[in-house]
Amino acid sequence: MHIPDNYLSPQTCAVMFAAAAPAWVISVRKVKKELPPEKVAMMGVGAAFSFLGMMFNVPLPGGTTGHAVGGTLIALLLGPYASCISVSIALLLQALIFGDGGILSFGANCFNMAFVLPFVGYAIAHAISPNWGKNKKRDLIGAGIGSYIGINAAALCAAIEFGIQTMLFKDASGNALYCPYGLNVSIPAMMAGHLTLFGLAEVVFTVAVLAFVWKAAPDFDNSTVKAKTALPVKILLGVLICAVPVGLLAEGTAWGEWGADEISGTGAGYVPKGIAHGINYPALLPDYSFSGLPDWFGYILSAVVGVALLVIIFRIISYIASKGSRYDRAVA
Amino acid sequence: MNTIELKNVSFNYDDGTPALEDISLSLASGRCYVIKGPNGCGKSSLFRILNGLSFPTKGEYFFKGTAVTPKFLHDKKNAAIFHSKIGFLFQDTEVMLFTGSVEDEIAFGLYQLGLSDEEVKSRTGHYISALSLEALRRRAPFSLSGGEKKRVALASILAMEPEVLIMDEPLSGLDEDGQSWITDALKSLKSPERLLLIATHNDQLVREISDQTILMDKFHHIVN
Amino acid sequence: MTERLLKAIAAIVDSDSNSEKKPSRMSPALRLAVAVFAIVLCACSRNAVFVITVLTVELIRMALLKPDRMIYVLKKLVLPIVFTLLIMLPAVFFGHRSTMLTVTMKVAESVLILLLVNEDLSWKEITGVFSEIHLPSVITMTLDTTVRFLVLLGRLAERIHEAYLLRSLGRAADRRKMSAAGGILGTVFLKSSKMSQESFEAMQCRGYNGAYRRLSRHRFCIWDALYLCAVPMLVIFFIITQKAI
Repeated sequence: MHIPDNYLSPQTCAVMFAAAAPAWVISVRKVKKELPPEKVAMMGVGAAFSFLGMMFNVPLPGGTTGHAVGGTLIALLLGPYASCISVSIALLLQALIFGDGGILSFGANCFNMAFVLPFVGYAIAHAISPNWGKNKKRDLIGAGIGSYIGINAAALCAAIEFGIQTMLFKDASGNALYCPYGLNVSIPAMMAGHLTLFGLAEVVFTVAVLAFVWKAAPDFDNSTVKAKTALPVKILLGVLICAVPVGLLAEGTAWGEWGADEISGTGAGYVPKGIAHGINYPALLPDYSFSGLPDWFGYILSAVVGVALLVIIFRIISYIASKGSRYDRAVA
Repeated sequence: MNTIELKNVSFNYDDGTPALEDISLSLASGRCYVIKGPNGCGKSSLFRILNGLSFPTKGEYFFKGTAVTPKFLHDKKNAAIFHSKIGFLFQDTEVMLFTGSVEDEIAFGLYQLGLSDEEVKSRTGHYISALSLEALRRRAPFSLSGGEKKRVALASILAMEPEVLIMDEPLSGLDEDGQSWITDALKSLKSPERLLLIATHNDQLVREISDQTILMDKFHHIVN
Repeated sequence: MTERLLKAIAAIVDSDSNSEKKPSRMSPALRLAVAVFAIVLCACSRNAVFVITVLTVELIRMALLKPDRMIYVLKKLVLPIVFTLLIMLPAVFFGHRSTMLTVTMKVAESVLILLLVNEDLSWKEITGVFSEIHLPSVITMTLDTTVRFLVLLGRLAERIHEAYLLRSLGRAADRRKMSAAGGILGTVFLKSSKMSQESFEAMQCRGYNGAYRRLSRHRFCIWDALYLCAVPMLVIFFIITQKAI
């Protein structure tokens, strides 16, 4: 479910950051104030677990991947606020160090997987089993259903974020600037996988670990920061959830209009000869215009690219060759 | 007044099984005590109590004349002073090393003492060279070998310059070189201002370092 | 999955014990900030010249890497590019002819920039950035413990998995595999939560009062100043190229 960079418009990314920010701030405050300190130390374990779950990933048509997240599991063990931070940190490490999921889309990814997922999963699990901790069987059923709905809610959010891009952001000639698939493609593509395989993976991941933990360590401390949220926070969260789509639409149309006006007046499609040589740019990059820049810039740029590529290729070949010869010598 | 005084201390686990029964101990500064006893004799519980991680079910624990109780340690100032005076080397050194690099590990305790950045830096540097950790300075503790981890854990405690040093099996899991290195280090730690309390099965260490040996039996008593 | 996990862990440990990798000369925070800034500008750019130029600069940086690192970066770069191309291919037939190349080019650029950041900085320097910008200690501490537990969990899971294979004499039926996976994960979870509990006690023994800081603070140096110049250059170039459309 990791959205890479440039599948969403920068505007969408900004809106999603703005949407995730209050969730982070509230979570950090809640955890600092209410989570017992030894549980705070557990958040790293939670994040590492979530990271583990995310490594089961499979590419999905429509622009992203499917995998377990474990957000509901962490929410049930440490509370939804701690889960929000843990999953965010797992996502941060993946984006920065392991190259999974983008930097710009970090806000969107966190909104889906670190905010929507654990809170929905936790709320549903507790709705099904209101006296949490009293009836383990009922708890497990709640956990299973909660985690299933949680991950699907997150997938739906991701699908909507993808799907609205083509409605909002197009260039003069009608080409999509970001994810080119509408809701009619993105929602089925995302949901087909998550309603079946990945939803199931998340349920197994959640229920298996919970059941084992409760069986092997019945006294495992279940005290968490309850999602008994103060009314103002609830209202804020509600407004946020409603406001995000509106914000996306508002931002998008403003930019879309501006873009179309500007671009249609500039004679897009003209490409200086220096760049157009060899590669068939006009057909492939009609929205990208090189007009207004001096020809020499194009020449220099292509020369530099060529030199850089040659250096890379040459050095790699000589490296492989030298390795081979060393091996030969060793064998001989 | 002795540094550590235990008066008729008993300790039960949560489920009621006894771990320590009626233990009285009086340990003085400047000496090195070695605790010996079979597995499960209650050494770990004893160490937890001495470090303020658990509290006696019965009896009292005085540290430098002050009773150590949950209420006493609940006060953050008291807890800070108490912990700065006792250093504890866990048997499993892995759990003691939680930061991202060796130097941060040593600096961690110093930041808790509220020292200035400059002081933290210079003291960290001092203990890094004292335990010859220069080459490992920026390494992550979890990627080190067992012996190296022990050294880092020891450095992180020594840097806080505690008056009491409690060590649970400092030689466990080390090869011969590691053992002799740590033994030498421990010998050099003996000083008139410091109290050492070490649990070990290693007879050579006992011979080389012990001023007094405390024997515990499997019935959670102290024998001598 | 275990293989991928072990690879990731090996990468963490390797980068740590690799003595050739010297600490970054410029401030890691600045290095990361400029990289993110460049990614943002490229995402916003409507002009291919800007994106291609940034890509060119990154190619030059890549050409300066050691050959084995070059191969590593290239390998890492290929997958997202192929993946994006495949995903965007159907759109070409829906009438979005240019989208495929636009998006793929920008994806390549983002991924390459981040890969090169990771060549310059160790994961420790990257996570260190977050304590430098004064995020709450809850976050910086969790960040460090996450990396630590990732390594510990991976090793633990591997050992338990091996022990399980030995006991089941390699005849683990698929049906049983599922419950075994739950057991392995559960055991790993309990073990690690016990470890984190003990770690917390070790922190208490050192008088933990909420302070969690990194020792080495980077001092502003000439490299930082030079690198800082990249910002106005990027901005000016961005404006020129956007105006040129």
